[in-house]
Amino acid sequence: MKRFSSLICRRLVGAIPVILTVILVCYVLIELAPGDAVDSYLAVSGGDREFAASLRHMWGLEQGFAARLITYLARLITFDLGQSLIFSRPVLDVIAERFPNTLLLMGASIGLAFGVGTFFGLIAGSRPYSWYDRFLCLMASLLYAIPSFWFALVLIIVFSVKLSLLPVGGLESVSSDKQGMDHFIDIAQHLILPISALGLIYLGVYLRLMRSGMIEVWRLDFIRTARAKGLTQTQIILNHVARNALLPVVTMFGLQLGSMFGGSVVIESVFAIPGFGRLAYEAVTQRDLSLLMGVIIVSAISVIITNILVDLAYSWLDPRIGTERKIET
Amino acid sequence: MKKLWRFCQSWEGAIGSTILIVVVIMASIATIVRPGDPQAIVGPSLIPAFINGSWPLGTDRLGRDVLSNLLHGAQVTLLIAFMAAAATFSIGIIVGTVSGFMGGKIDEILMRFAEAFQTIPSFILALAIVGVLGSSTFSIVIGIMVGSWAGLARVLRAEILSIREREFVEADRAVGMHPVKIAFYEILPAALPAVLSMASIIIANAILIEAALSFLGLGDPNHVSWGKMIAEGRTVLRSAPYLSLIPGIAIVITVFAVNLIGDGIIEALNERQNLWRYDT
Repeated sequence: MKRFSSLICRRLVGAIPVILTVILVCYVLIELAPGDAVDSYLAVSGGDREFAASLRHMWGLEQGFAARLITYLARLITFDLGQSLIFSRPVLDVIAERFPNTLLLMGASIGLAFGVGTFFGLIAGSRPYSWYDRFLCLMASLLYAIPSFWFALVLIIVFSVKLSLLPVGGLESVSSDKQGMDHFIDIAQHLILPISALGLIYLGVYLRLMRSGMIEVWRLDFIRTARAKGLTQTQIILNHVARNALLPVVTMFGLQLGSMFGGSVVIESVFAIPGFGRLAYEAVTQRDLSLLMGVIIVSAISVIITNILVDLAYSWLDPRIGTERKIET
Repeated sequence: MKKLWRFCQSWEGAIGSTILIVVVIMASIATIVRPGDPQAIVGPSLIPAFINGSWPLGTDRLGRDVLSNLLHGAQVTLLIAFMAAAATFSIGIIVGTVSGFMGGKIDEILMRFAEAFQTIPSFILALAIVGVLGSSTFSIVIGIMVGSWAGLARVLRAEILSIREREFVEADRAVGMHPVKIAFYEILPAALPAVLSMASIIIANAILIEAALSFLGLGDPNHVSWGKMIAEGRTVLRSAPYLSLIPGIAIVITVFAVNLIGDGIIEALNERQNLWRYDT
């Protein structure tokens, strides 16, 4: 237990400079935008020059770059990400409201991609360079080449337009007061297509990872020992090769999460799901810079937290690694 | 040369390059086959694909030629992907080289930066950059580059650090070769193949990110793009699904070809291990 707490501490301390750099990068980016928060506020609300000046004073915008950055950081410590223009509410509230939907979508997609992907990766890696390995690899490359938003449209054409099986978009049926199980089924029906669209793209990644992990393991000495012991091929594949190949696949969770955030932006816009990804899109198209910055920071922090969790899982699964391992992202 | 030959022999490399060459030819003959502005209205609207000889792939909601859009879109896609990859490679190689050779504080600072850029989801970063700088080819290229240089820089740095310890470098030092010469004539050429095999991933990602950005309406408004075609076809998804399907298939084929080329390169760089020798 002590091992874990010291690992958590060290990783948290190591994450601080990364988060600070993320904030700095965002801040510079936002500074590059023409106009400031007052300009975009006035574009919505309207107002004269004096009003603009008083707003600038109120929001502390007439100070220099460094002073404003320090004020922003000081507010961040109290979890204050500022005020969203388009929602007229604190950024953190808006994000907290939207985040669970995206978490549900991404969690289910990762689950689908991981489960099915590693299964087929296991089949492919059980006999590298065989015809089915080549076929599965080809399928993985093909899946990886499909833009998720286009795949989503294809699914809509097939399952919603042609077969009328599943709803086209939204998170739940409008104005239906479904309760309990019905409500759950309703949401599940709405999420089948988005989850498949997002998950199937990443399925190929897990297939490839599992396969290449297994190829690495096949080369190791203990496989020869296992053969010498007289184990059957199936036993070797399941108990020796697959088990050891699975570990590196787990480490990819953190990286996958980052690119899934990106995928959720397009998928949520296609299916009109009120989630975190669509929030990023709304922030960009409606020029809500404080919301945009909040979105970037929250997504980066989520990736960092996932990486720490993956590290913990890794050192729990493989005690040899201990706490000395530095994560290579 | 031997590696190039092996690349051509691997069927992934052969098929991938063939498809990509076809796409490049399509892009380069766009102005010959379909001269004029692809965004111009040339005929009746919503003619389905494969029915009318004048518009083999049909026309869209406004009566624009789909084939012309597809060919001109190939130009934009390939150009942006190439520029984004070039920008990514320039920044990634500079940062990775400096970091790997300088070491110390500079290395630490650069790698912290790289780590920060890797924690921000690259598509959200590209979205933010295009949103802030405004939609243009330039901002899309910058957006893609900012999200992908860090991985490349870190791989190159790790590669340089490991090659520095190799025996042939020690031998160079022993015979009194100048450190700068060792760095640029001995270590860097040995480290670059690892980075070059990332090219296909970077180009494939660039195509997908550009498509997604223009699908979301953030593409360069002055050019046609496959992503934008899909977005426009989406409004008539029920009545004219071919308008979204055709450009999407073009994206899939192109990215697939790039992925295959990547597989071929990896195949050519690694000697294939015959794992099944013990078996029989």
